[in-house]
Amino acid sequence: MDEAALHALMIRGLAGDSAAYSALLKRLAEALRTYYRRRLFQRQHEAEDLVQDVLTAIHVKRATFDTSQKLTVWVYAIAQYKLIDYLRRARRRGVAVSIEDETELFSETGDAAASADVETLLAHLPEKQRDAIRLVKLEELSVREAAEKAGISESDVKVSVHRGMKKLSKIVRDGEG
Amino acid sequence: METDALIQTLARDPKVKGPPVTVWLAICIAAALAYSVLAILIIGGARPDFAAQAPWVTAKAGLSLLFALAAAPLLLRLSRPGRGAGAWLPLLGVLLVGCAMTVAGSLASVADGGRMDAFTGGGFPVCAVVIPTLAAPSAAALFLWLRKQAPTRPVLAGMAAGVLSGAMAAMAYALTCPVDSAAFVAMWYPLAIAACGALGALAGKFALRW
Repeated sequence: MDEAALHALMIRGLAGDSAAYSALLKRLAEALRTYYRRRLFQRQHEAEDLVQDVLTAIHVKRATFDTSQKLTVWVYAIAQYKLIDYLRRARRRGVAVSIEDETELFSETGDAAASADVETLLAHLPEKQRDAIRLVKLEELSVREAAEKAGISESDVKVSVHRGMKKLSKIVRDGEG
Repeated sequence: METDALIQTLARDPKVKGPPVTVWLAICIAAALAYSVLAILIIGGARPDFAAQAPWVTAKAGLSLLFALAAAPLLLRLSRPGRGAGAWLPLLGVLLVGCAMTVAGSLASVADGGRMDAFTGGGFPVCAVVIPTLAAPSAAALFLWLRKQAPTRPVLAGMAAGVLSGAMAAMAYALTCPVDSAAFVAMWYPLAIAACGALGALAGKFALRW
């Protein structure tokens, strides 16, 4: 990132220049997207959630930016903190393996029949888990979008997906599907 | 795209409102110091022989001030993303080592029978309990300030807030503390301040997530 240019945008933004501030946030969003996608591999929706999380944090905590410090260093520290925080929360909730579960599941059921079988499999689940998995895994919405659509909280979506995927793996493994 | 919408919303309000974070920190510190002194004067009162023992009072308050002078910039640095602890954390360590050496040195110079008294102040070291208790409201104020900042190392930032609150409480306690012994002061004051730091670190682990 171009430290001098970004730093100048931040200074102008903090002085009340909305256009400069918006340009800064856009460039940071791009950099953050690359940063998180590279680190979260296939979990692209969660990468985007994190990008938004960090942009919001940058905004809310912008008073902690010391104009004598490097902007890129300040942003990187926030991005890293949020990544560690995310990974820690994910591990605690046990959702860190969400996508891996899915690929594992589909490779076990095999070929083209897999997608048809999904609906049959999903029928084994309670409604909430079924909906959460449909929204997040099949329609590929972000957790936030899925939460809005289903009218439940984001953590509820993550937990439901996780529990549902676990149950599906078990069903497939035990051959009940 | 959703992220662009978020950026547009955020960009409507780029300016920071209110005084800079350093001003708020200074207000917090001033209030905590005033509270500590006032509380000590109300609870214990200044020691009766205050005028005669002014050098001891100054020495005790001065030692505590050194801890506060290292902890305050440390706290400010740790409240900002991308600023490490700098030289202030090692400086706290140096202060502790200096105190430990003072304890050892002055105990060696005391005659055989008087060591225990020099060490404990002739009874239970009350300050080890009073200082952390007195420090709690100050620590709470510093934590409130810290929660508005962005500490990327919450445990360390909590510790710095704890040490600072403890050091200010110790400065105030020096006004009433009746024990005049180098071994006592160099032992129990830093220990009380360190206890505040440990409690702050623990609280920081849970209270400073953002």
